[in-house]
Amino acid sequence: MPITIVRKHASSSVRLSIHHEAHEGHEVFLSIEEPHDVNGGAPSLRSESIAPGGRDPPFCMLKIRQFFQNGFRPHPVGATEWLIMRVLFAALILWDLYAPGPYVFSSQPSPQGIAKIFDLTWLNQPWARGFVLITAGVASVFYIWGQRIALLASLPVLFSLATIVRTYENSQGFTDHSHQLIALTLLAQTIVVWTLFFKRHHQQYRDRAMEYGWLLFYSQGTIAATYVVAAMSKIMRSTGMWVFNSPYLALDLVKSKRQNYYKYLDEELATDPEKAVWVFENPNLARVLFGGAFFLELFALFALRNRPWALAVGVGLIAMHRGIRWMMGLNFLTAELIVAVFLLNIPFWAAWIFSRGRKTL
Amino acid sequence: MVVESVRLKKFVRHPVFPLFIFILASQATGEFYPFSPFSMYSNPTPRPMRLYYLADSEGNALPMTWHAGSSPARMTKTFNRHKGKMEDEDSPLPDAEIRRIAGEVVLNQLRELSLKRTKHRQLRDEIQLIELSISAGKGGLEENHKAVASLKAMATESPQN
Repeated sequence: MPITIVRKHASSSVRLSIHHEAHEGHEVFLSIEEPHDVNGGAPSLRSESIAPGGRDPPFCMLKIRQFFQNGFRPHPVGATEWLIMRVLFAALILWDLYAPGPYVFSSQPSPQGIAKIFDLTWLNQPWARGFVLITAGVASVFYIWGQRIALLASLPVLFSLATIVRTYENSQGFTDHSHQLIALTLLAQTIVVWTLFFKRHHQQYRDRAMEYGWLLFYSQGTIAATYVVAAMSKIMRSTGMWVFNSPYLALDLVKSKRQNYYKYLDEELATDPEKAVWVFENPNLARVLFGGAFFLELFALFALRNRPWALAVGVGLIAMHRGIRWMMGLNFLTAELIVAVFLLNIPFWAAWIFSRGRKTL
Repeated sequence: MVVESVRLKKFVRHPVFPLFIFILASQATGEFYPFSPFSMYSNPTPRPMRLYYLADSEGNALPMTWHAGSSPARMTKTFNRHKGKMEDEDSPLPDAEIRRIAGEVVLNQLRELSLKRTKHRQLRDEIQLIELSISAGKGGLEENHKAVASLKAMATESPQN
């Protein structure tokens, strides 16, 4: 039967309409989560139905349920906060497209992705890099402008450019995994703006603060989910033995060090691989170290719970990348920067500190 | 049954649900940029690790990135891809010959890239591709170097009139 609850707020009233089918002989438990902002975001309703004679779940289960029931939904995001993110992300996209690397190849010997369908060798033409940068520059201006129509047009363009350029680079016989996050985040934002455009007649999707909230939620979600994908691959390819076998990463450490040495024959990198030897000689400590990084990847979606969790997971992921860089010399600067923009969200926390915690989390 | 159906419906409608689809899709698509299973370092084993670097005719290492703008990591992947392709095609050639052919592909690519750079970086003399094998032996970590392919020096340019 439909139930209506009216809750008086200091400044406004919030009306929560609850529709729940009551089944004969079942107890129905309802818990209502307050919205983060009374002006935005539909409040979420949780309900559980327990069969007659069923026992109350244990305390730890209730706590776990409570953990997952609070958050993990888009929350309203301020216009300035989202503007700063757009500016930083646009700068990151342009910086990534500016790199001359992908444009130097004259053929695509091992086509990958869309290069299997389209010939992308035009990127080797003398005018190609300029064309890409000018197009991306114009699209970035529209993206930063941020009006709905501008986002609808600019995001697919930026996504296409980011995909085409790096697909061409990855069609040379090697796979570079350090740029995917940009294209994936652009894809997520493109899907969000177009979905909201088609749902624009629904009242709940008209609010700008919630629109920014959806965009931020799926940007953070895509970044976090990418790390979960990596963790899933580790589980599947090692048949669940990744953490146990992680001391063998010592061989990878030596390989990475030697690969870096043979780039420029830098004498500083010609030394013995002492970090690899330490990993090899201290396998259990290595398991603790690598295991921490593995579980951080596996549970990266916790970043979606709320802003403090996004900050914590973001700091963890950047620390993990820094650790990988220190141990293996592998550079994932693009990934670190995109995590900093969307998960760390430094401008928001700066504003939060200056407002002495009055700003809504 | 009704409860299960309600729970499933709630899960499918939850904002996090599309991200689970994305995770499954990334595993299913394989390497299809920007989708990827991100499988690097996903299966640490005691098997030897191999990498490939550039050397002159005497076997002295050459700075690959300085000459060609590419890196040993990329060229190792290129080598493995070509070698794997020939093995998948059930090539009747012996392993050493497959390695030599894959190595020549890598060396040709490096030379082509270097020829687009300033003259003193170009790889016109004889070059070799050296395999460095890293393994975990009884005495600790061991490294072995072995030449797999070579390219002869390019013909000297004819004097311009």
